Amino acid sequence: MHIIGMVILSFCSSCGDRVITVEQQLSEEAVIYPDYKGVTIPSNIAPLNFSLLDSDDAQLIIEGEDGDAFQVQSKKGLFDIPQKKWKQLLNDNNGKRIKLIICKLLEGKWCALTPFYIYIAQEPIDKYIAYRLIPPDYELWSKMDIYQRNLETFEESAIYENTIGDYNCANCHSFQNGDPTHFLFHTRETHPGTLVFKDGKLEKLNTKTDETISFLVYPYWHPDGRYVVFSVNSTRQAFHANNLNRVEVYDSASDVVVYDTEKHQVMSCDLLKADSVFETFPSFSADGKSIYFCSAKAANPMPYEYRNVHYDLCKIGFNAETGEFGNKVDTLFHAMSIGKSVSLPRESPNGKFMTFVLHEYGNFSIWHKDADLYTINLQSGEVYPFEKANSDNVESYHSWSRNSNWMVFSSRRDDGLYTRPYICYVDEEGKAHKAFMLPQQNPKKYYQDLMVSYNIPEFINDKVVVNKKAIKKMLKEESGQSVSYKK
Amino acid sequence: MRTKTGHIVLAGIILFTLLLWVYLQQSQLFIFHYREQHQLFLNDFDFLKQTVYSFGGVAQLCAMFLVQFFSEGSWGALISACCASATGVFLWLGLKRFFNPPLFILPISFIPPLLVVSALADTYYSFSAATGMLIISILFYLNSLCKRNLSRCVMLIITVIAAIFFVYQPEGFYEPLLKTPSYCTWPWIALIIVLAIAYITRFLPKVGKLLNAFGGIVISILICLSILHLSSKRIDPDNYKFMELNSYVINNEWDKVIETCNHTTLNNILYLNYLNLALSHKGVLLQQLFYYPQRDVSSLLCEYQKIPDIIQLQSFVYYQMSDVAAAQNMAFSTSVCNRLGSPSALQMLVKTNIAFGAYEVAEKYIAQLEKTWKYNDWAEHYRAMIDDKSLIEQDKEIVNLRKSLTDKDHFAIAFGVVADLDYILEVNPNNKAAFDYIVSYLLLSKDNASIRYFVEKYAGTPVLSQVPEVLQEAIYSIAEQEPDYLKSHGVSEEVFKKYDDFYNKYIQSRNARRNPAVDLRREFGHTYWYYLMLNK
Repeated sequence: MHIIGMVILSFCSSCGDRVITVEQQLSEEAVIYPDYKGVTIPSNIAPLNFSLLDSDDAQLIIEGEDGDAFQVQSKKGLFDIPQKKWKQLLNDNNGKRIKLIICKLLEGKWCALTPFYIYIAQEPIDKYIAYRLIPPDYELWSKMDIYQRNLETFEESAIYENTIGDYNCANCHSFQNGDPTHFLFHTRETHPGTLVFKDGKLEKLNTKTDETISFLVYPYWHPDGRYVVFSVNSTRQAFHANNLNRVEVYDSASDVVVYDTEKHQVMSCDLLKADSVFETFPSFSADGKSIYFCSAKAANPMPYEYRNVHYDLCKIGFNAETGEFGNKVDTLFHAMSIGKSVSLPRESPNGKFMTFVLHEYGNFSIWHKDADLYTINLQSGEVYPFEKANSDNVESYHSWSRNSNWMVFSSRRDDGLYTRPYICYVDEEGKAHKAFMLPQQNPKKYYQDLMVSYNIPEFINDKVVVNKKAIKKMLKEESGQSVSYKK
Repeated sequence: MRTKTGHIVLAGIILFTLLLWVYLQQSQLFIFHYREQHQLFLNDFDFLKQTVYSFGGVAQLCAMFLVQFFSEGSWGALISACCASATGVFLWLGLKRFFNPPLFILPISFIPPLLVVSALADTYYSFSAATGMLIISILFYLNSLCKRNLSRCVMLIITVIAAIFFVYQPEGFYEPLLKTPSYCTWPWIALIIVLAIAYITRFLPKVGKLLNAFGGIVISILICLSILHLSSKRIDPDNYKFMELNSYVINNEWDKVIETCNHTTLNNILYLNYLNLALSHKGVLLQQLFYYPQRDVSSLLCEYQKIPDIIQLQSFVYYQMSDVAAAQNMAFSTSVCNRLGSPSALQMLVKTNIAFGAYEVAEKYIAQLEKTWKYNDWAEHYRAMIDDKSLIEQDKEIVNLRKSLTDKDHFAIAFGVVADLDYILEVNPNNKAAFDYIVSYLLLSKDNASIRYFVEKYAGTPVLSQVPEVLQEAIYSIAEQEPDYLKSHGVSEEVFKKYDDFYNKYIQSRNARRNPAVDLRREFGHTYWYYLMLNK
């Protein structure tokens, strides 16, 4: 602790009621929630409000590189940063960093804690994310809604609330290139079907065919928008009696198929539906010429053999013009050879990187504490972890921004159970920077009180506008379009 | 109310309230307890704001606020009675100012709230119907106070808006997943009819005091009797018994569970689940297992169904067995399925998460309970444990749960309860509840191979340091021809003799062409042999 003398700061406080003078510099780190120290953020993100955990009364000085600054007074430890000033400061410091100094009043003197920095990337982030809010159980539910959040503000609105579907299950929302008018999601149990929103039209599909083992499950849109690749899975879940991972979700069979939205037809090939292999979590490459998927040697009986299922990252060609598959499967990452397993492969829209989740076994990484994000540099072939984005807890479902500079992913690092969305910057070398938690007006209280998990966070370019009445009518009154299987 | 008539009316209303209180206390006590267990009222601004901002939010919020006191003594009945009376009074005061109807029709203003009370015997009907009607009657009365046409008009608009936004609920105050029964709409239809009657009666010729009083009393009696009749029809006795047992379990009143079951025909598998749970808590499950009409293993734990109350019952049973993961799973499902919350499910989630060492998760639920009026102290007790971990080691319940956590790679529930209990006993041989349950399971399943496997696995270990008599009977029945085996596995001379006696009397009864099940019930009805051979 050393005295730096009297520093007069003539800034306006957020509420205009207090302008402080820092009289002493402490060598003490601020304990804040969420941990926004040293994170990289886009210039169009909502204010990163946070709470000081060990003091109710404090002052925050936010300072740009050119010296412009403003002060925010805490309310019960919360720094509620004014949106207008924040936006201005971020715009002025695009590509630079801002300095945050927290000051505490000790014995009548304002003492500054060790400052920290937030880095502002030049590349903006997609305006919205879509996600499902569900209890972290997946067995029973009551409310289960798909929401969207404006990342530039704190505005959250519903895309689908299951009250309109008599409290049915809604899952696996997927957008084509982040297009808010081009997406789908499934409804299950009551009024089951797959709702496809495309070119201003809404369609309900009945996706079970005699040739496929289940309804269509995990989706990923082709970049051109005509096809969607799905897995079909026979999935179960079990509860560990005493394990860090509470739940185990496993497949006893799975295949990969492609759905043609124009012909209402599902197609596959022998290489994607072998009985001796579990194929799941497919996704298209950025150019649409390949399908990535996870592939494991089938293990039986399940769940006894659940630990012996290891998925490799594979790839097969796909011709969008003819709808034909390649005649060989390439293994991009042989996870089994290192006793690991891969899930959720996602290529960056610029085609440079492939990010996936690596964990010890199985495919449902969201319940595996060891699950981390890994990336393959598709040019050099180098495979490496997203070190700065990962934590000791689960990192799982992830989505790339359109400019390939941002990634939103699910993490259980907060309390070990309830997944929260984190966003990280990915630089030109494909390295992840320290991730930040999705900002909220009062994040400490919001996340503490929130009794549901964020599930499948997906970037979208703009706000989704849906006709709730049409969805309700479609769900309840329409029998739906049956899907055929191309033999 | 300053006149003699006014005093009589006031006394009548007070008497009515008291009688309604007593009636509700006697007939619906456990419905109040049940309601309290199916919501979580939080003293939290965001919660209040979120509730108020929904359709019918003010009525809902008022209802939730009041219901949090429902499990305290006779508060539920008192609050409901006062709510109904206040609604009737405000409605009457409004009617009087608007239409000045004759006094003898005063009792009809109590019909709508009484119909609400009668419908509330159905637990799927929300108490917000009662608070909603009270709010509307207050607004109606306030309307009547306005003297000028303009202010009356403004007040009417406010009333309509308030009714739409603060009281009206799209689901008709009923569980949204179910179809709203017609009787839930009766109170609102009655409200309109009452207004119409009050309006019409203003045109009737004036009635004398005596006729007013007589008419009023007759109408009151008729209304009360019909509504009491309706109310009693809404209560399903089986369901009410379930709620009673559930209430005792939540409050750890095990003697009351046993006593209630002793006076109940145990024709419902859920009653047996509660009874056996209580016997286990009292440490006498094995001793008294066959003193009751057990059916099969479902008497210990009913089959899983996606019904919140059954899931919660299962969570209680699994918790007693120290099957922590299973209990937690069921408690979580209970919590999720109850849209307005479930305090006892949250309590179980706190304890099981602490047992697993998931303190951050436990803290999340503690924070919720700390915001409640009733569970605040309880939550603080567990908060202290998280702040000072050494306190956990002093908590016998948590310590027992921790000792019972298997070190094997095992899925709870997936391979059956016996498999779970077996793993528990492997790590915690002194877990009496787990031992009692596993033996009970084996006996009730009549699975000789599993009984033999269990006995041989644990013979000579702390688990079977003492062989309970009922298990000795089972061992005797599976190894009757192997005296050395019987002796080496703890079967006493008394059991040998008792079996001879049983067998002889059984043969005698059969030879006499009588029914052994009847003949032997009194003397041997509580033995395993009787259950094995004669229980149907």
